[in-house]
Amino acid sequence: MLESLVKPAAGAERLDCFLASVEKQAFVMARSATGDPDAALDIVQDTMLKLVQQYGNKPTEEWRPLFFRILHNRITDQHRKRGFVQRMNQWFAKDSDNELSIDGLDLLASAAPEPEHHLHAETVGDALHEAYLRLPLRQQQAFNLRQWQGLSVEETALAMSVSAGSVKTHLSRALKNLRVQLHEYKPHE
Amino acid sequence: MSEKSQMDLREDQASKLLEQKLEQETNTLDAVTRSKLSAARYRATASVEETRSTSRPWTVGVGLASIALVAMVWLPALKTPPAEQTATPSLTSTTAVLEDLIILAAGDDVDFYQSVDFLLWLESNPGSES
Repeated sequence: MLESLVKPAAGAERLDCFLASVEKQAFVMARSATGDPDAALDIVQDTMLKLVQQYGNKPTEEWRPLFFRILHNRITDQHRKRGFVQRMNQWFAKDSDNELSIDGLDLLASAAPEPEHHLHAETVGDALHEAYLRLPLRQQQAFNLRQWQGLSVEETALAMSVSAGSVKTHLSRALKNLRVQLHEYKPHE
Repeated sequence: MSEKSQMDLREDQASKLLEQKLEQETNTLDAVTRSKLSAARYRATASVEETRSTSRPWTVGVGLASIALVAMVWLPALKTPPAEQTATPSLTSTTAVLEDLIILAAGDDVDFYQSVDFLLWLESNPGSES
């Protein structure tokens, strides 16, 4: 009886600690993928809610891969929506004498870093970061989960809903892109 | 050093540098974003507390109702003296309890049923009218 009274509070505390340990990284991942801080906050909040409400009773060690799986799905959904809006805007723009709406311009600008910004990278780290922002979503996510968050290949595959082989392929391509960036980096003069 | 191992080394360097850059970005988030993230976390953990607190009385209620139902069905049967305890009275009392439960569950005015019971009793005891 006493155990049942104590357990929920302890569970909520553990969930709070876990979420506090991943929320900032999750936000950076979502912002890198969407280019939109507000959308990134929404994504992280949805991810937290879903984890707590649907998987809060799962063993603690399963929270991390589950959290990143939900996060990945939310980011992918956001990308799809954004892609759809962009296509619609481009389609309507063609119909209105190629004039892109203000909303469309905003979306296109926020979807990817500005190319000229790349030229102003001051350090190798900045140049790599900009190369990272330009990576295709799956390569970026494979890097985030496998390299940065240190999930196993299997956990990354589960989070991304792909096979372990696909994870290795996406990661290998991401690292190749970053290596090329490192090789070609010339400090801005 | 072979070309392959040089490439691996560069990939490793690039990966480590980028990880450092991302960590730095994470640790230097502005105060507004940090507080919004904390608020989101608070909302998420509060939602599970709400779910638990609303679901617990419901579970307890169902449990108590089940116990009451079992008690109402079986206690009248146990109270019947052994000499009179045949299949028919036990079934009758069970049926009566179930009828009562149906009436209570229907949420109708109980006074109406009490009046009907009284009229039926009067009919079966004509001498008691005076």
